[in-house]
Parts: sequence; structure tokens; C-alpha cells
Amino acid sequence: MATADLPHPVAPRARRRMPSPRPVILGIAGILGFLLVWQLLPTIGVVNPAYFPTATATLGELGELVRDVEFWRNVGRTLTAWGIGLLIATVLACVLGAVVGLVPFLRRATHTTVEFLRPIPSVALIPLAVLMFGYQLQAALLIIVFASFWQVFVQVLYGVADVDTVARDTARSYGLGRGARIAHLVFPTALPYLMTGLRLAATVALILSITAEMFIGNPGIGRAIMFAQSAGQWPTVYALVVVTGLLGLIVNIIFRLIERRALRWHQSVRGEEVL
Amino acid sequence: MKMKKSLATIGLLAAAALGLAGCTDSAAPSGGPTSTGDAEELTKIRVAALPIAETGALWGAIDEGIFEKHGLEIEVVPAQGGANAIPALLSGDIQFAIGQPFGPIRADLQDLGIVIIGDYADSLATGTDVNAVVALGDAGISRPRDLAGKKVSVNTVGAAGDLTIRKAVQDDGGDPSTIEFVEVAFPDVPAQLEAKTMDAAWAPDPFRAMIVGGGGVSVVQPYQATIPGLTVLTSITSQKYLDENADVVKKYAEAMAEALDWASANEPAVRSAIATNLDIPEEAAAGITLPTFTWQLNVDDIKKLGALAVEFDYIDAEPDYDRMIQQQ
Amino acid sequence: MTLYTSTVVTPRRRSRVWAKFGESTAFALGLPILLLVIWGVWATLAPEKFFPSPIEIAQAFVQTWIGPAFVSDVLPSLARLAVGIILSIVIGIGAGLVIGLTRWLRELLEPVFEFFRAVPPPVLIPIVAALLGSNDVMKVVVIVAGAVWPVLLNTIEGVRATDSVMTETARSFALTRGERLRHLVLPSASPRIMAGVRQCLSIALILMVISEMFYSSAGLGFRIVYFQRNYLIADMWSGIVLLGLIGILLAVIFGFVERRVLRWYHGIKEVEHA
Repeated sequence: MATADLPHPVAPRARRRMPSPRPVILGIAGILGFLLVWQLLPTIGVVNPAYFPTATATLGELGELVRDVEFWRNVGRTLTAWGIGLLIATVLACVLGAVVGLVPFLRRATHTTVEFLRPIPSVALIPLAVLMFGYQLQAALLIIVFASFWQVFVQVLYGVADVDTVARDTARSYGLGRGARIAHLVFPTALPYLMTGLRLAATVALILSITAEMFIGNPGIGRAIMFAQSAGQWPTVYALVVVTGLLGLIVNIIFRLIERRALRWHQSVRGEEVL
Repeated sequence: MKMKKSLATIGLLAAAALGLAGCTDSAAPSGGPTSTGDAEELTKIRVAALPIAETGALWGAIDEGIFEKHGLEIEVVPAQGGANAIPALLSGDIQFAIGQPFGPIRADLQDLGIVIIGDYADSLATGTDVNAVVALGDAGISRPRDLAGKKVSVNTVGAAGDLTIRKAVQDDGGDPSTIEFVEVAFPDVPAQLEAKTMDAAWAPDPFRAMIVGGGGVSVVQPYQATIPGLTVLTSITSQKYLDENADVVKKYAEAMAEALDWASANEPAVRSAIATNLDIPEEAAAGITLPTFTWQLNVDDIKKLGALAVEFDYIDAEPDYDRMIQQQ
Repeated sequence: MTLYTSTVVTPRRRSRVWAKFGESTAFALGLPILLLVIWGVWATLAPEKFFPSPIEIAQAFVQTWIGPAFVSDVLPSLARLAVGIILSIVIGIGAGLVIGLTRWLRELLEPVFEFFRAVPPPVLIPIVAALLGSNDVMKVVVIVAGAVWPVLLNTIEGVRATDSVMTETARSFALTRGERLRHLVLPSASPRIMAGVRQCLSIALILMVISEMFYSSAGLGFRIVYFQRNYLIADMWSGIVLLGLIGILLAVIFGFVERRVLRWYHGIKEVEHA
């Protein structure tokens, strides 16, 4: 649920527990406990309070930030880079994934290339991106798209390959044309895989857009973090880090919801999810 | 999912608690025109500058309206590191950059077409210089040759900082090849010195003042010790831009010359611009040693720097100075 | 008994082994070689400053990395990466087991952990650098601080999802806690754990690269940035290629380990799919 999902070798259990308040209470207690420890560490002096502000100092700064229009502009810039990168990666991956996945020859031919390019950490391309594009958005997009593309591409490949053989033969025997087969057979099967890929890609894209802002210098939250750090304003740094965590959570929750909707629809067709 | 839902509710409650009690806008003055409407069209240009004290002259001059007077609207692009400015110039993302001369030297050796069109800031030939190598009081380093065998940090390895430090150590009788140079960004210097990442650090104000004020030692002022008055920052553009937009470059040169003269004569305004843009308190800005702001390059000093770089094997050959330096 | 055993000659089928081998090699190498050739031709016809030809890159690769630089830059980087990964896995699985098996502990800690996992790992680098200094310890801590969460959270989740029927069976057979752990909990959680380890590997590699590119004066990442700054483009590319190779190496090692650990699991999946 909160982690990468896996194929379950057993049939999904259907019973539901009565929602109890205990997890929520304990959860809040955990958060409060964490905040308490955070507050104490610099106060006692275990860590240097100059570089590790207390929870109250950080949250106070966060309150200031939320009222600052420039902060929201930065959030907007980060999300814009994220959104554009994710969109490009998804479109590319869907098209290429569908084409490669549906043509067995292409699948075999591209296998080694894909397995070779996939593990390359896209942050390795940062120096290249800077050389090619300087500070422009394209530099960040290069990094974002390269990493997110693979997440979606691999999932689409799996999805396209997962078409139920019986259904496919039935379609063929009914004389459905290629287009109709793709629309009615391949697409619905691949859709949940696509949603999984989208969720994974969304997280990766957010991480990389913030990374690009930090180390290439595109405007956004990442760059704001580096500026605050340069100016020695550590409460701002930590406050912004908290913001990035919240952004990550929100993106994750939203895309899990989207994925869940698509999954629910297809529980009968597919029995499992691929990583 | 329950965990996420509870987290989400907590988040919403927290957000509601903060409320919209008035909004502020902290966007640093990006150098937009300060005077009221003028009918003339302003040419928009992007200038990359490091977020350091020296840029105060530029910020101050923009606020003063000097660039606007010459028909230019400047957007100051904060550079993360000087090295990235040159690719940005080449790709046309920015039109001008203010950076140290080593970048153009390396670029010229690769025939990239980067030109120094004027100076910006020079170090000081006497007295307290704009930057120095500092160490904590207990490090046992008091003079240049003590740096031999130690770890010294500079902001960018392979540039004017470590080069002049090597020369200074050599002149003082030490062996510069035994120094280990590490890269630490200037703002990180106080924290890293405390953490003993390195034994000494090359840093400008306000970081230099922080360390010396806290009981540290100023070991050597490398620029002053090797090439007194060496330029710290120069004005850079690409040959392509120079060829295609000679008129804009002319306006920029005239505006910069006037701006730098103004900055030399109006220290308080410059300091106030530094305080605002770097978000540091006024007292800290008051204690910064400002460089000499000037538009006229001292080409001999740059040639000395180039020769030094060849001597210490930083570069294979000297750059083509006539091509690289075209004072406007 | 007849002497004419060879009258009826059944044509011996030509061995298809070599043909099959050739075919799979062709598929494996075909596209990469084709792409390299296209790149090489393009680079010769229309030389682009930032895209040297593959031959130049290969030359730079041999010159730069096969020699002292390997020992002084690459090996320490790999060592830090390895230490970071191993620590992340050990801490992640160890703590994950304890927390996953203790229900109240899990409910207490999971929201906080989820939040930490959502923080983009590179963001932690400036913070850790300020607290610990720019040294090896900091780099390893950065790797662990980012890469431990997928393993930890996946272990918790995997342990939690242990089939209740099997748990009851184990209990009724009076298996000790340790035996239950070894034979029931760990195997049943292992697919999830391996999924977490895979994410851990890619995060660790990203963090190693970034912490070396921007907070270091030695190491693979630093060398690549150094080359970029000095416009040694072919060397820079060779560094990127080397990073890619390291990524592939990690993926291959992980593939082997995963197949071994999850043999039983893949077997079940095969049966299901048949």
C-alpha cells in the first residue's frame, strides 16, 4: 500500500476490517513524538543548533513561507517543470512502448539497448545538460524525461504483453482489424500497467525536477533551498525540505488514487500488478 | 491507505490552522525599472551573476536606474557556479555574465568564442583584500608556507584561487605540490572549517570576516601576494553576441562604466543593496571589504595570470589574449 | 544382421545451435551497433561540440579510467556506494522486521516514515553536509538516509502481509519465533523486500553521483564535473558511460540475487501463467 506493489501469489482477501481509530491516534502520536525529538536534539545540543534548527523554528519559518507569494511561485515553477517533463515522458513512452511491445521483432531487437540505457542514472547527464542548455528549462527537462520515460516505457511493455491469449485469439477469429484490436483489447489491458508506470514516473519526475533546480539552477523550490543555504538561513532550508516532503506525499497519494481507480475496473481481467 | 488518509487530514488541519493571515512577497528585486513610465523601448537582457557581495554594485546600479537610462532592462540571473555561465552564454540563454577570468581563459583555449569585454571588480593592492585564506585559531597555520601538506578549500578547483595560493606558498618557501585542494562553496566554509573538512579555506567576506572575527587567522591574501590588484570578476559575453548585437553591447559597456563609477562613489547604497539581495543583516553588510569597481581591464594582470597558469600546469598554453580580451 | 545399416540414410538435422546463437547475438548487439554507427557517422559529418564520436569517447575512456584514476577515483566511489547499500539493506530489513512484527510500533512509526520516504533524497545532501562535513562518512550517511526507506517500508509491508492461515498453521505446529521468522515471515515478505531493494539501489546510485558531483573533490562524479568545467567533452562522456556501466552492473547483480532468493516465487508465477 505504502510501498511498491507486488504480485500476490494468493487470491486477494475480500474481508474488510471495521475502521478503528487506533492507527490514526498512534499515527498522530508518532508524528508528535518525532516533532518532540526534533525539538529536543538541537535544544540539548546533540546537534549544532546553528545548522539544525528546532522544530518550532522550522515550522514557524514554514508559516512565514506559506504567506509569501514568491514561495508559491516557486512551488508553481517546480510543478510546471515536473508536469511538462512527466507529460513528455509519458507520451513518448506510450507511443514507443506500444509500438515496440506489439511488434515481437522490435521487442527482441531493442531488449539489450533498453536494459543498457535504463540503469543509467539520469543525474549523470547533468553536466551534459548544462553544456547543452545552460540554465534553461530544457536542461531540467532532459534529466526529468530521461528518468521518467523508462518507468512508463517498461510498464507499457509489460502491459501490452499481458494481453490474455484467449481473448486475443477470440478477437482474431472474429476478424477484428488491428486498430480495433488495439482499441478494445490491448489498451484496456495495458491501462492499469500504464497507471502504475505513471505513478512511479510521477515520483521520479518530482525528485529530479527538484534535483535539477538545486544543481543546475532552474528557478523553483530546489533553487530556493540552495539560496537559503548559501545565506545561512537554515530554518528556511529545513522548512523547504518539509515542503518537498509534503509535495512528494501529495503527488504519491493522488497518483495512487488514480491508479486504484484503474485497477479496480480491471481486477477481473488481470490478477496481478507488475513492479 | 488509512495511514495516508490520516496524514492527509492532519495536513489539511495544519494548513487551515496557519490561515491566510496576510500574504507577503519576498521576491528579491530582480532589477526591474524603478522609475515611472518612459516611452522608450527597453532592451531586455539577462546577466548572470553569482549571489555574492561583489554583485552589489550591479544590484545597486539597477535600482538607481542607470541601466534603464541607457535603454537596458536587466534581469540578473543568479548563477549557481561560475562555470555554468559559459555554456549558458553559448546557448544564448544569457547575454552577459559577470565571472572570474579563468572561465574565459579555458573557453578560449577550446575556441568556444567567449570574450571579456570589460572589467567589473578588482581586488585591492594594499591593506585588507577582498578575500583571504583563513584558518581556525587552533590550526597552527600562520603563514603561507604552513599551508604545505594541508587541505585548503577553494570554491572552484583549477581556477585563480588555488593558482594564486600555490604561488604565494611557493614564494614563502613552501612546496605547493603538497597542498591538497578541496572544493567547498564559500557559504559552506564556516560550517566545514568547524567540521574539520579542511585545514584552511579561501573565502571572501562575509565568510572571511565571520571566521577571523570568531578567533580565526588570516593566513595570506593570495591575490595581493601574487598579482596585487588582480581582477576578481570580469564582464563576459560571447563573440557571436558581440558580432550580432554590437549596439546592445555598446549600450551595456557605457551603462556598466557609469554603474561601476557610481558604485565606487556610493558605497552605502551598494552595501544596502547587498544586505537586501543576500538577505543578510545591515551590520554584516557594513563590514564587507568591497573591491574596486572599475570598467577598465588591466590586461597585463590577466596575462600574468595566464602565464602563472601555464607555469603551474593548469593549462597547456596561454590563450589568445587579443581574441579573448576586447575592451569595450 | 545386415551389413547395410547405412542404406537408409536419414539426413542428420543440421545443428541449429550455432544458428540460434548467432540469431540471439544479432538481436542483442544489432540495435546498439547500429545506433553507434549512426552516431559515429553523424559526428563525422556534422561535428557537434558536445557530442564527440563514439571512437573518441572510447579512446578517452581507456585513457582516463584505465589507469591511476581507477584506483584514486572509481574504487573509492564504488566502495562508498557498496557500504551505503549494504547498510541501507541491513538497517532496512532489520528495523523493518522488528517494526513490522510489532503492530503498535508499526502504526506509531509508519506515518513519519512515509513522510521521510517522500522527501526527495538529494534535498538531504546540503543538510548532512553542513552537519557532518564533506567527507566519506557524510557521503555514506547521505546514501543511507535516502536509500533505506524503500527497504524499510517494503519490509514492514511485507511482514505485515504474511498470510494469516500460514501463521496460524505455524503457531499450531509450535514453531519457535525464530523458526517462524526464518521459514514463514522472511520468505513470504521477500518479494516485497526485493522490490524495495531494487529501488534502494537506484536511489543509492543517484545519491552517490550527486554527492560527488557537487560536494566532493574526488570520486567519479567529481571527475565528470571537472571534465565538464574544463571542456574535456570526450572525457566527460566517458565518465557518463562509466556511470552507466556501473548502473548496469548493479542491475545485473541484483538480477542474479533476486532470481536466487525468489526462486520459489518465480516458480509459482510460472505455474500460474501456464
